[in-house]
Amino acid sequence: MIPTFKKFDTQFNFAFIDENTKREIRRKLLKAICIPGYQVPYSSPEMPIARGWGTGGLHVTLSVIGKDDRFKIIDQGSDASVNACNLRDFVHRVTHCRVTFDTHEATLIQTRHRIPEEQLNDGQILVFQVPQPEPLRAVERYETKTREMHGEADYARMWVSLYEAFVRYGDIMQGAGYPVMVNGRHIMSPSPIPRWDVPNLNQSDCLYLFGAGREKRLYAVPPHTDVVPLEFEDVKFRIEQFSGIRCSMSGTGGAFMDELYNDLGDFRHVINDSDFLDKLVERKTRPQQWSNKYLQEVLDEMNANTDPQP
Amino acid sequence: MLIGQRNTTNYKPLTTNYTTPYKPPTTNRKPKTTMGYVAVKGGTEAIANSIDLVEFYRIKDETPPIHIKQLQAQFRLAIDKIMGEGSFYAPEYGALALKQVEGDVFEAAFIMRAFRATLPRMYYSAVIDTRNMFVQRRISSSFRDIPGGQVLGPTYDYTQRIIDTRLADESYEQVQAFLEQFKARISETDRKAVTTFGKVIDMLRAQGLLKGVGNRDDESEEGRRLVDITREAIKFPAPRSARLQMLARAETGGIMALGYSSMRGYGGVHPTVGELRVGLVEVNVADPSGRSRYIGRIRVTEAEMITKAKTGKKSERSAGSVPYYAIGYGLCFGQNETKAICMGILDRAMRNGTKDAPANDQEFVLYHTDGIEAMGFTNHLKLPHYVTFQSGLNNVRRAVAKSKKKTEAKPTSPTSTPANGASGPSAGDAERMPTEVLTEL
Amino acid sequence: MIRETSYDEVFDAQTHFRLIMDSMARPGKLNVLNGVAIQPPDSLNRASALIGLGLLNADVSFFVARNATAITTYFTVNTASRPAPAAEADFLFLHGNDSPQHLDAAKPGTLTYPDTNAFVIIDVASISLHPDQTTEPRLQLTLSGPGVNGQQTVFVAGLNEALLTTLRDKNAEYPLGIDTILTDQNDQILCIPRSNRFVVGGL
Repeated sequence: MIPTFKKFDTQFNFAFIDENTKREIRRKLLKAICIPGYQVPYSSPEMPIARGWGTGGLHVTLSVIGKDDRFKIIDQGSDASVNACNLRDFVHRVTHCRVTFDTHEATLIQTRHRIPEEQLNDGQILVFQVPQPEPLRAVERYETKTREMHGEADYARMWVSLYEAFVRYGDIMQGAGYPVMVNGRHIMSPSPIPRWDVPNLNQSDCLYLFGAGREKRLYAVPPHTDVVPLEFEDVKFRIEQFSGIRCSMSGTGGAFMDELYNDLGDFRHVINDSDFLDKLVERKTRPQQWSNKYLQEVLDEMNANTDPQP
Repeated sequence: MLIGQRNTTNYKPLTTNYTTPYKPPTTNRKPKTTMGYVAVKGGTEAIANSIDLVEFYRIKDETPPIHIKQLQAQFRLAIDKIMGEGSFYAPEYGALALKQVEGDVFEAAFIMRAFRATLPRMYYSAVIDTRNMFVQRRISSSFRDIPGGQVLGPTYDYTQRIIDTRLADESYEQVQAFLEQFKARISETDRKAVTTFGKVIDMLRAQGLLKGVGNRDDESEEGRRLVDITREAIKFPAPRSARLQMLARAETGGIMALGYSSMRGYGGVHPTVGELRVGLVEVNVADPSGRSRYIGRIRVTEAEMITKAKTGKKSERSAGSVPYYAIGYGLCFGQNETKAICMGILDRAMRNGTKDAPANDQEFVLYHTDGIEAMGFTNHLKLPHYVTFQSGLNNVRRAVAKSKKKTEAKPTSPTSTPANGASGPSAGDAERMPTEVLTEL
Repeated sequence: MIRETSYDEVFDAQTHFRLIMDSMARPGKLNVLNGVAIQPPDSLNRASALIGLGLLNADVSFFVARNATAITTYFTVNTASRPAPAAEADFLFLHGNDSPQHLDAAKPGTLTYPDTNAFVIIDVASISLHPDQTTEPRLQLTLSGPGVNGQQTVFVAGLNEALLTTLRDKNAEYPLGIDTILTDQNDQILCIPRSNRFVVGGL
């Protein structure tokens, strides 16, 4: 009585994206690697995930991923976040790749707004989901102009912006997404990672790829590349301070903390990186963290004020 | 040009069939951390429950399922909108998408776009010719009468917008009775007489009253290039082909707001409808041997908006210069007259060559009217942002603590110089700077 | 005309891309592209052919310097890419003994869009991290810049030094420039992105 629709029985390619688009994205990723910090425009086809929910990251992940990859995805540091779960299921569904929560075990990690606390090695790729790839957008709304500014390395207005905040508040007020100078040439948005993570972009062993789907831009930071947060001689970049604060679950510090409030309005701190926390709590091991001078200061202070914690 | 014509003999697509039930991946262990709303309900499980729940809401009242044939037949205009914004002409898929999302046109258009992006692109069609349109409706407001006459066609323009309570219990018998009576009124000879119509703007053009208007960029080689914005990211200044393609995919309400703003005085394009036509056009492609092949007909709405054009910049205008007319062009899938008209206004407005009004500003119009992108990003605010927030909070707390400490002592003026070797700020730059704190997303 | 039937455009392309990306992200790191039986025409290293099969499609154009008819047909048939003059092509397939005229013509991109440059793939005889693996005359290349931890030295045989001089000139106005992949007869690849500086010494 009612006709059926044979044509609705659709199958999808491995990793969902068609091979032509994958080739385009791959070519542009190579270009991005060749000009660290420069934003390469790409076609950015629609995905079955909403714009602003990680399409750029997915484009990169799905163009790069192979059968043997072990895939991990975090959202705001957590493997368990709803959107991370959704994207992990999607990637698994279209690739049948092994997925993992273990930072060290993963070969390909997609992230929204965090770099894992555990140091990444030269066999790993970290893919950032980027909402706004243009670090200059806050000081210049027109793409035509920001393109020229990058082309001519004309970053005076960016410096002014940081300087003004300093004049007004006595400090650089940029929170997450702290602008960085890459390879001494391009100012880049590291995506809205906390400042805590920014030093880990510098001279790392792993490859960093950035995908901004809605804005249709790809960029990259290759391993062993200079990535320097913008700062003045007498006003320095600083990471978030969690002075004297310890995680209420693991009893330790030296990692980026979340503030958790209860119904009474009291709050406690918990380590943000869910895999790092699991390893501390379940495995009773502290994974190898990144080494940078900012973190070292934090760890030194923590060790100086050591009190008997489990 | 053919895309996707490569070796496929050894092509082994992994069958990822969405009709087979999904099995969640097996991982070595589950994250045990409980942090606010992130993991309290356990991610994957919470999603599964939510999906079940929304499915429950879709069908909980146990009414007979709507067949997509019915939707296709009775929700024509909604599906036209979905096809236009979804950038994918496939009415049955539009109906399916509409059903799947309980009638949310934004969501349905999004599903169409996402599906479209997975389809292999075998051919680019030849340019459609609206002069050979099988016209179903066509009007001009510029002239009282036009060659071929005004054809009102199907429109709600002159229905009195009174809620029709008779439809509340419309029966199949009533439908049939109306159809029989309607068909009886149409004579076979009249039906065959309907043919194609010449264009109103051709009359103006023949009289030498029309002139192209554009930015200098539009006249360059790049400006005349035929761009496909689904294959390459848009670059600004965008060629007119790219601008029109983006407008044709734009969200109707979005371009309506901007088109309206221009008419109300923010930009000053107040056009007349030179011609608005709705009808069927043939689509042809060239086969590998180069022969043109007819592949079907699609319904489109086309608007040609007539505006007065200035003869140049004030300084260039001499005493003897003449005014003339220019066209703003709009074309979209299906019958969506609001969209075609607003597209025509914006096409014209963006060629004003100034950025003194939102509608005149290419980047402003094109970046903000794509419904799928705008919807996705505004809704992404629902994703957790606590790391981002914590980072800012940390700064604000420090600044507040500092100011409390310094209540007596006034801050000394800074003498900062950039440490990264870049040139320092100048006073002139500082005056232009409206930003206090850079954006955090 | 040879249609590569054993090349898997999904999985081979992915595997080879990852290796190319690894070498591009780590200039001086050699990777081997093989694992699939293909029959590229003469004057085209197997690794060069695999780079072409993996990255070309109808959206881009290529230029071939040697044995142009056969190689052009090969890429056109297998990738649907189209040939173009050296100054317009997105990919240039050159030979290590060529004179630098084609490389010199390759597009370096524009200041606002430096990504519109060309990739250049150059066939050489051999690439090695050690000076002792070949008896042929060879160039010593010392790379530094993004992707390189300090410095990395490689030894290349069958490469006209004039090509490197031209490459250095083309890359002088970073971020404009040419991104280069050298391939050798043992299926190895070596990448020199424009962000890298290099010093040449003979051996």
